[in-house]
Amino acid sequence: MLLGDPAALLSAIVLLIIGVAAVLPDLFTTMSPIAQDLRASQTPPFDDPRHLLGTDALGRDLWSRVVHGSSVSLTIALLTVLLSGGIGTLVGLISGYRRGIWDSVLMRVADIQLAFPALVLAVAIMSVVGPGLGNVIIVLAVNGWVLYARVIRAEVLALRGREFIEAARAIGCRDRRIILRHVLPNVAASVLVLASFNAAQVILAESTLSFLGIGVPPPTPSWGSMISDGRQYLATGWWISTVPALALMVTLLCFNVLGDWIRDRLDPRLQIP
Amino acid sequence: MNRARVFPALLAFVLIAQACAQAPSTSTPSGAAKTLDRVTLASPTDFPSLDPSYRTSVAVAHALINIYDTLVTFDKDLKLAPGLATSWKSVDPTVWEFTLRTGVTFSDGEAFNAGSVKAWFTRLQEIRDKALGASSIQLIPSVTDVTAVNDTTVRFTTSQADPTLPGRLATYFTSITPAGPFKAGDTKALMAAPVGTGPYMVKENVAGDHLTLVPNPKYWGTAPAAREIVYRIIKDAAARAAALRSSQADVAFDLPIAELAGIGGDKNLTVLAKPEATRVYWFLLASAAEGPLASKQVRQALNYAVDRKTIIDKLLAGHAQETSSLVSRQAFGYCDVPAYTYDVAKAKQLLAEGGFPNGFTLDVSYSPGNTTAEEQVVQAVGSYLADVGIKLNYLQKDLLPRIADLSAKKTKGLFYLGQTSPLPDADYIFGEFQPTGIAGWTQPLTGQSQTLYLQERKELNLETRAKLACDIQKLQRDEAPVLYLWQLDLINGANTAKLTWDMSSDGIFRASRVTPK
Amino acid sequence: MYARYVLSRLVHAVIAVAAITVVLFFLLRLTGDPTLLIVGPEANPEEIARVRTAMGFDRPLPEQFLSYVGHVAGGDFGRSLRYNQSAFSLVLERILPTVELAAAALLIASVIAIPLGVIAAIKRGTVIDRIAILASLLGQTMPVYWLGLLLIFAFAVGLRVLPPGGNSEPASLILPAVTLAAFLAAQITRLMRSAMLETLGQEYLRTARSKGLTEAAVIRRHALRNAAPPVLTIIALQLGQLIGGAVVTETVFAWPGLGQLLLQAILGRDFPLVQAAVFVVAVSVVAMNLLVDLIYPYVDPRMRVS
Repeated sequence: MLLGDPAALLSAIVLLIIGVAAVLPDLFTTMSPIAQDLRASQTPPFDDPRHLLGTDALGRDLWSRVVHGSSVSLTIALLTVLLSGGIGTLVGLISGYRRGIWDSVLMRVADIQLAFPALVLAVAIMSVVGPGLGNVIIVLAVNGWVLYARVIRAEVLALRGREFIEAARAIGCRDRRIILRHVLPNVAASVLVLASFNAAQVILAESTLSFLGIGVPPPTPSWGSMISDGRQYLATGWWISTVPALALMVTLLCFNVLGDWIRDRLDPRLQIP
Repeated sequence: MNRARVFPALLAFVLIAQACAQAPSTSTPSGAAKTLDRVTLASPTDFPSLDPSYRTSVAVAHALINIYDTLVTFDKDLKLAPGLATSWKSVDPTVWEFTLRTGVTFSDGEAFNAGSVKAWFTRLQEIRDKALGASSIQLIPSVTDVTAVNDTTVRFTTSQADPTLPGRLATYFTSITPAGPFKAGDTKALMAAPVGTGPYMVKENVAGDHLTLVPNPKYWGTAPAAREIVYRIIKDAAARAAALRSSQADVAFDLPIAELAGIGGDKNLTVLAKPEATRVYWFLLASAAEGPLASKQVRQALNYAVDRKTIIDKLLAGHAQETSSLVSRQAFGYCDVPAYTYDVAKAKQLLAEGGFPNGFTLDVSYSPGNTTAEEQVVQAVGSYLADVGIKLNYLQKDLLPRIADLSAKKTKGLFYLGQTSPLPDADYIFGEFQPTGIAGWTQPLTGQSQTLYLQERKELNLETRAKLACDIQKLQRDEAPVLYLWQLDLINGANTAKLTWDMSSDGIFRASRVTPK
Repeated sequence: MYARYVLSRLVHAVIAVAAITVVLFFLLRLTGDPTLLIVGPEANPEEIARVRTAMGFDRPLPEQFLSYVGHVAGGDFGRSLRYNQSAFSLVLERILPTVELAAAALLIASVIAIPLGVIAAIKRGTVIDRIAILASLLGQTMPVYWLGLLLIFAFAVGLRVLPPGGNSEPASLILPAVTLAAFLAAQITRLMRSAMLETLGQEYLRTARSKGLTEAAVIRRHALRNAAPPVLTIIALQLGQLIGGAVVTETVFAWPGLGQLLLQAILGRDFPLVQAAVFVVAVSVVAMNLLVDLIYPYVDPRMRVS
């Protein structure tokens, strides 16, 4: 089935390779992503066989940083999606199924979350909990759960009136059992589609946090901080930010293409905002 | 809607916009003296308050200096020169007497005389006593009283002999303000509506966007060449360079290293670089009382562990000079103490002697984008420290909250700082290592250094005072209260096809030093 | 029926804004002490302590909160700690440039993306469709600040045809608007395409065709009309978000908008200014949502009032 769509197939293969690089970076590079060599500062790509993609201002090997950066980006994407997807789906299930006061309260919280400037929340949280990879994930998840909650709630509301749910209730099944056995499997496809697009959004959002100075702290090589740090060298070393930017764009492209493919298969009517 | 209609519309939009963009910025010479219609400056910081009596960010100096006057001024090489006072002398060890310039009025018409100076000092006291803000009285801490002898003579009485007073009265935060605007009781009236005796007045100050100055018709000196000065606030260094390169700005402050080659290669533009006389870069080491930094050997080890020369060459394009003195080279009292060399073996040995053979972990706090290549410099230092076993936790924060943490004694470990000293005098920097100073709690002057400082601050003989200052620097070199780094060049840029800016070595933008090409 | 619906939406909107105001107060207090903002970085610890007491930042939190609620309820957000001006009027000054930028970006994005999405859907599977998909994917993968810097480099520093930032002249709007439009256009193209694809497959279009209408008429009269509501909804919601959300673009281009003001205020702990700005942003987002909710029953007859 994936074979029928060359673009989706290619995306899946590329993502697989990036995934392997994230887990086993040593397969792709033997150089340290944080070892500095000021004498090799700003080496252009293809100039020095040891630094094929060149080096940054501190003389760190860009290829190695991009490879190790994939692990940071994918970790952030995976954990944020799990966290915000999990919370959002749970809220959507409860809100849509229970309705009434639960629904009102949870949806008001969602309204508040949406109207609260994401940036203020991010800066405030970061200044309270301090910098760090884990805290970046928390900030991104806090901003991401509403998407899931709203979509899943709408789906559950539609499902609720369906015969098989009514039947389950009629024979006295407990709510928790109905939600887990009957409702969740029916919204799982939507969650998966949302997650694949959300993963791309999260990776992009991490780079924005880096730009604003509240991203993953050094010396951890994150693509976002690499692009952000490299931007002041555009005039003398265009590659310093271009190399990680390309890595980021390729990854996001693959996530989006694959997301489109999954949606077309599983849930073609789902609108991704 | 179809493409056939959309694209011509869009094209028209772009063309109109381009026509607007290319509207010529004229510079018409009129009358005898050549003038400039408008000078646009790309400034990294904005001007939240233009009242010099409140000490805010030093960056506001770029505007204050053109709106107000001080009793004494600095010439191009930061030597003292007459300002609102034409001469001054010490009439008693604790009394300085100033003779004031006549015929000076504030831009709102109020006359300037000895009474103005007296009223200005009373106001500084009031700001301090009523806790309205950080009073600029802190710059002249020794002064206990100001008296008007007659209309043109004023006496400053100090609690003990203060050799630095005339210099302190030349710093921008001691600019003289008029008494009038406060009559109604609004203690912050000048912040938004400044009134001074300087060559310019504020036309418009839009928070975070721009500040526009126009000439003060009542100015007592020679009318300046620029008929309008616009400070455009551009926080990002690369964006300031872009503004200069695209002729959006005539002068850009604090340019990034990576843009220097491009700007130097443009025949209309010139990079203005010279050592900044009023700032020295280092890491403060907090705190002295506990942890590894309490050990002198450890602090020395830090200083031996960093290869300053390579960092200067590779990250700062040679635009810095390493130093191991607390005092800037151009300041009074500087003496040439031997710089710490790059010596890993020595650093490791000192760490072992200090009781930390296996190193330790420290926080380092800095503000990316705040000073030249700050992010890269801090990480490079971190890499050198890692080589001797000292690991760093990088904490990035905006400058103001970071300094707030420092004041609240919440900082731990290294604190990256370009220490400014509005008065280029060793005495001012030593004051920062007193309890009232910014570094007072991290590694204060103690023992012999403190004893010498207490003598130095009241020594009227220049030679003796310089000698005392030198001795303190030698002691502090070995005491290593900071991780010494360097003095960085001021790196500004100007469109020299249009104007000439005769830059002083404090880099502050004095509009009177700008002349048309 | 509609009146009750309107009333309940209004109540929700007011609750949301009020809750944000309260949450924000405590969130900000967690971030630290703002005293230094008033006294500036040159102050010494003793002065800071005196001013802290004078400003009341050392009073118990509940006491500070009550006084805050009292003032905000009276429409008084206090004075900005940094600028010593009314926080609310500082925010109002910034609204015009922000709306200008948001509107220009949405206009550019809509003008490009709506036709592109429609054409891509009609010509599904052709080269045009593939190009539209690729363009929209690229637009959504490009970090905004990176795109902005590239545009500055190309058009301001390289070609010198456009100013690199500020808003001192009309042409200054072009680069930031295009930068902001890129992501929006990608999003709108994608939505427009999928909304069109969905309506094109519907029963009533087949009926319309069978009645002998030309394909162009079918698309104009039926397909577009039915595909438009979800896209218009997104555009309206985006406009609300953009009021506080164009931070990155505004920073890159030194555009004096609300987003940049908000960023500087929060980074510098200027509490009154953050509170005023967040209030305005929250009101505009909530108002846009409300507007969408209220007009939806009119534009989309399929949607019943629930």
